[in-house]
Amino acid sequence: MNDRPDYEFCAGHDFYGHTACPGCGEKILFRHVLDVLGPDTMVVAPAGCGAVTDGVFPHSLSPVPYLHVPFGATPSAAAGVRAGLEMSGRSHVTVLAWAGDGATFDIGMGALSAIAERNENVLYVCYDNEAYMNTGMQRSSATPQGSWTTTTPAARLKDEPKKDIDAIMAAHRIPYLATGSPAYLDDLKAKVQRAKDIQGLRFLHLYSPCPPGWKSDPADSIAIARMAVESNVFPLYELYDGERFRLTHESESVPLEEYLKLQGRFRFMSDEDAKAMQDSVERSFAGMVARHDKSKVKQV
Amino acid sequence: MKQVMSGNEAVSKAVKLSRVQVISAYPITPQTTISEKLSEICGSGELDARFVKVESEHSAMATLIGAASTGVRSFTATSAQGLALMHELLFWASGARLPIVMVDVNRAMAAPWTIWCDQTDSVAQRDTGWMQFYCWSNQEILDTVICSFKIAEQLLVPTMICFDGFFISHTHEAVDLPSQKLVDSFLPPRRAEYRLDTDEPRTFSGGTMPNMFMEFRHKLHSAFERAQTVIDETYAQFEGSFGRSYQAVEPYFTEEAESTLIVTGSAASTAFHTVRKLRERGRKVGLLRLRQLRPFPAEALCAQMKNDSAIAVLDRNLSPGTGGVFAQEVRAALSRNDVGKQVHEFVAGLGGRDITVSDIERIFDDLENNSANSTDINWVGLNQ
Amino acid sequence: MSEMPELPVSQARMSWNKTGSWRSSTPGHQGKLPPCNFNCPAGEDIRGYLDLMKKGKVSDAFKLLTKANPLPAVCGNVCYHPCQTNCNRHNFDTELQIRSVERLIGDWGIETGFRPTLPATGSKRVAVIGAGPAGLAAAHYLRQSGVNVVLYDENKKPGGILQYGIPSYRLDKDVLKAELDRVLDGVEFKGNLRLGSDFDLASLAEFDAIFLATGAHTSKRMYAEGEDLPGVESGLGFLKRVNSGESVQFEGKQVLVVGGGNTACDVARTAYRLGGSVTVAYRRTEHEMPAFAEEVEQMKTEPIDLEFLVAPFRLTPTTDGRLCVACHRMELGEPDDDGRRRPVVIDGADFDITVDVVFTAIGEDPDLSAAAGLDYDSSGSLDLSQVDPQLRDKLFIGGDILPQPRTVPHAVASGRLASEQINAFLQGVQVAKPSAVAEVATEEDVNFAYFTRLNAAQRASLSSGQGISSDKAAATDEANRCLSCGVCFECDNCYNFCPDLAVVRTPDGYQANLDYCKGCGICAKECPSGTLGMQGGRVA
Repeated sequence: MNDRPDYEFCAGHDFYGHTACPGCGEKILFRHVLDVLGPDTMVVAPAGCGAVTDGVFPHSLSPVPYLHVPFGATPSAAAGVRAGLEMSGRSHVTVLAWAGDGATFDIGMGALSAIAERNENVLYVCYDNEAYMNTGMQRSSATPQGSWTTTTPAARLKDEPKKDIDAIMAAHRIPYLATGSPAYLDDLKAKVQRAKDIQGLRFLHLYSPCPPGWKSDPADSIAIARMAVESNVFPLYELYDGERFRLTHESESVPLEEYLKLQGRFRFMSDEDAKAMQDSVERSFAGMVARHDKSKVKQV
Repeated sequence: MKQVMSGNEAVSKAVKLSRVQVISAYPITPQTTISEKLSEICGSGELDARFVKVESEHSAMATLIGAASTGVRSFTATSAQGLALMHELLFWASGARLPIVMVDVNRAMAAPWTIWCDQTDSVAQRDTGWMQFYCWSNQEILDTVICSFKIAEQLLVPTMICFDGFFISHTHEAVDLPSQKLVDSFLPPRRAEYRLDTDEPRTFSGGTMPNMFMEFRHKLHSAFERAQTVIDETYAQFEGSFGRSYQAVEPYFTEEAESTLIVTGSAASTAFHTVRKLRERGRKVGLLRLRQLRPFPAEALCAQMKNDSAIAVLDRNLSPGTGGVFAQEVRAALSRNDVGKQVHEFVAGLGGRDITVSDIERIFDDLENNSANSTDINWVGLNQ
Repeated sequence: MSEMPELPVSQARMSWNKTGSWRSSTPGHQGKLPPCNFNCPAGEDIRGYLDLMKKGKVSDAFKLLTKANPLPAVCGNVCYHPCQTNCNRHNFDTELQIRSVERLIGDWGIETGFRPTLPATGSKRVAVIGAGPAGLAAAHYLRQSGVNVVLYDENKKPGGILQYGIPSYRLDKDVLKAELDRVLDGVEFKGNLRLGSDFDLASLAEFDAIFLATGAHTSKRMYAEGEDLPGVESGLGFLKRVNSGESVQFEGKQVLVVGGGNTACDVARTAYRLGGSVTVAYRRTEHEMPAFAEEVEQMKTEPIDLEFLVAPFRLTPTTDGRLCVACHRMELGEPDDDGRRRPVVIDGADFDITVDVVFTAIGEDPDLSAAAGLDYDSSGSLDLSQVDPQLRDKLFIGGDILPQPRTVPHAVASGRLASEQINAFLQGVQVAKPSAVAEVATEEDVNFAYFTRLNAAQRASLSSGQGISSDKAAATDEANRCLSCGVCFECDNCYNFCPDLAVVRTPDGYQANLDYCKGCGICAKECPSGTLGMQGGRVA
């Protein structure tokens, strides 16, 4: 066997038997994030796929302490855990908020903005499967334009573009913001490690494929995640203090079709919609790069 | 050492003496001076605590759920809209058995907008699994906050201490401030058996199937059943150390009373004054001051029902369509314990309207004249 | 139910939940072969030695390669590389220059003077007749397994077609000699002994086994009038004279080469190099030429005249000592048994061409007359029924005598197989039956997302292949383009991407943990080399 270590934290801590769907992106992400963060971590998790598939009383998948909290409460509860740890002499523990796009973009948005503004010492991860998947695939503000969901059916697909959570978080000038993808694990884990070593509010926006919600083959989860990056739908980058920007992966700018064709949730899109989405992706990407490139004066 | 202070200030003193470790609060009239004072003493280091300055009350309670889960002593204060905004989290805190202590400065619920006192805000939360104490003096506030930490941490039940907005919160009285040493000997640091701990990883409040959920509710309920004993013991201990005593139901001038008024909060102190005055005139009237809504002190109340007195309950709150909540609770307690007494319900002072001495006199007059309704609400001072 | 805690705190884990029960298909190793391995007639573990070359381990690569083929320097020059042409990288960017890597490995063996440790011999003695690639391979592997070997050949030097057929501009004589010295280490070579003339099979009776690999050197006849005239010679015979060191020159001479196979190309290109003005006449078109495409492409870069659909039928001497060759023009008719369209004479289109020399290169046959009793039956298979019974049981036959493709690697395979069969015969055991033919990994099995495509400039600089065969760093780079089709190269993708941690790393490779595997199929999809595949159904 190659010389990579046999033992990794989750593999060595009984990370088996969870009830997530076959091909679930969230569990790939959770495992690797925990592998980097290690045992001195506490998870704060709202209602959502991650929390529900952790297990029901008296069982839990999580190898680290795990606090379930109500849906919109994650950011504040995480800040509370941090306050409690500091007051009980355990400042070295990483507080990991582990929330879906529903809890992050929508119901918890206000609280997230608040802890970002206060620069609370929390590592906030949003695993983004682009809809309220746990409750049956209803649209969220993270759902891409043109996508089918149970509340944006074929007759009325989602009109609005995906909320730009990264721009919102960037505007708070938090110490560290990064996007990550399960198809690029080395890139992702390096970012988790950097995030771990920074104090203050760190925000990781991770792409989380969902076969039942995206109407995709479970086997395609990584392929879709890759296509999302390579088509610039989900570029990989990091941003320090709202200023210093670094694109961490040069995409191949593949046609959007390569990404769309793998997912049934896009099959109702007309050609015009797809073209509009392609234009929107290109504009968004170019805009992001241009916005941040101005600050290249202060390189990382 | 006695100091003159407002009700809100008494809260801050108690929080400091109780060595609270994490505070998270959002300002709302008439609680604001609590927030401000606590910010001051946390900022100066006078109190070694983290004050998390959240952006909403929902976040305040969420923050404390997080903090309390790590095993530290946690506190917040709010009123009316703020308390209501916390509503879902109040259930969470009790279900998770977190001994969070909160002060609710009683204020009426909007709409329409108001900042003035009534108790609808706290009584509307009586089903959330929190203990509730009602205070009528600034001394009592200080003492009750300190005792609440001890009681809550023993029972693993969150607790709120309620007192009337403006009437008590902003009124200055002399308060005997105990020393830190005395409080420390009475109230040791919190020791949580179950807490977020990397040495013993556990998962808290995970999904619970129907075959086990009811058992957890039963455990919470059982804690409430044990609560009165714990409360009484705690206050007995308190009396021993601090020299002041409190009871769940405090009788005043009830000997041979022919009319007894059951009341809470600042209205109770007006009622005390009124009853004393009427007694001087030879009227056989009495007062029962309730200190608790949860656990409801049914036994203590029924014990006071021994004589043949007409019973009235004065509520500074309203459950629309039914009436004042304390009245319903009294009726339920009497009915359960087979005490067949008529209960005359009076609703007064909603939205901060004064409850005056003459209002109380009128209540007693109505009772004596048998002109008080016993099947419907008697509205006091309503402008029709 | 055991005592519930006062508050809803979970302290037990989830591993009791064997989610393997969810599965409706199961990942597994498909056991597909890389197309290079599959297509190599010599059976080299090409993927295996490319894997070693990825880390620059030339010595280990040499040892692995030579387990199947003792002639890497030779093949690195002359093999028709079906490995390359079937490489799954073909459509992605360009096929791996495997032959050039093989040449580097072979040259290493020569430059370092490497010699495999020669084992002591036992009592068994085997005679190998014919020192071409088949005989060389058989002799080498037999000697390496501790058998005494005597190798006979009609020519002075060993090598057969390698020595006397393939011209030196395709296979350097010094390289050949150095490789043969290693291959024949410990083998007793007896040259200048022709079976049938100088000895016969019966004289080998005291050997424990005999391997007959005398090849196919009898040139077919054109059945044209005048084909025995002076100036008309078999192409093979010509090549042999030149390769034996005879000085030949064709300055100012017109040379006609008849035929379209590898021999015809070698003859034409040799004659050109000796100063001749060369024309090649082939009775079908370029499309039907049996010569290796690469040979034809090389020939076309030289000023050699290619005449297609031409068939000489009569040769007559001219008054000035030249040859007048009367030729038919041909057209293609219906396909032959071998699928190639049969050439048909066009009436009234005959023409003459006057040349100085004519070489025939229209195919060769084995000459079995010297092997008493050995013959072909009507179906083209060998018939041993008339061979002396005492010899028949220990007579093994290989190389171009067998009805199999006539290439160096096929001959090598034949010789190595013979060595295994002879060893089994000598020990009195059965040869293991070859296992069922495995499936080949195709480009559909490969996940190209994990490989970097060469750009146009990089592809262009690769096509010559020169840099690779003489530069270890370039060869290592080229080896690193290998996709490892069908074979795991331990990238950890399956292990890393499994949402259920149901892929386990063991010393024996990656295993699915069937207790938890939900059959999502990510591992198989993201396997770069097509090692893993999904089978329908839940494998218990």
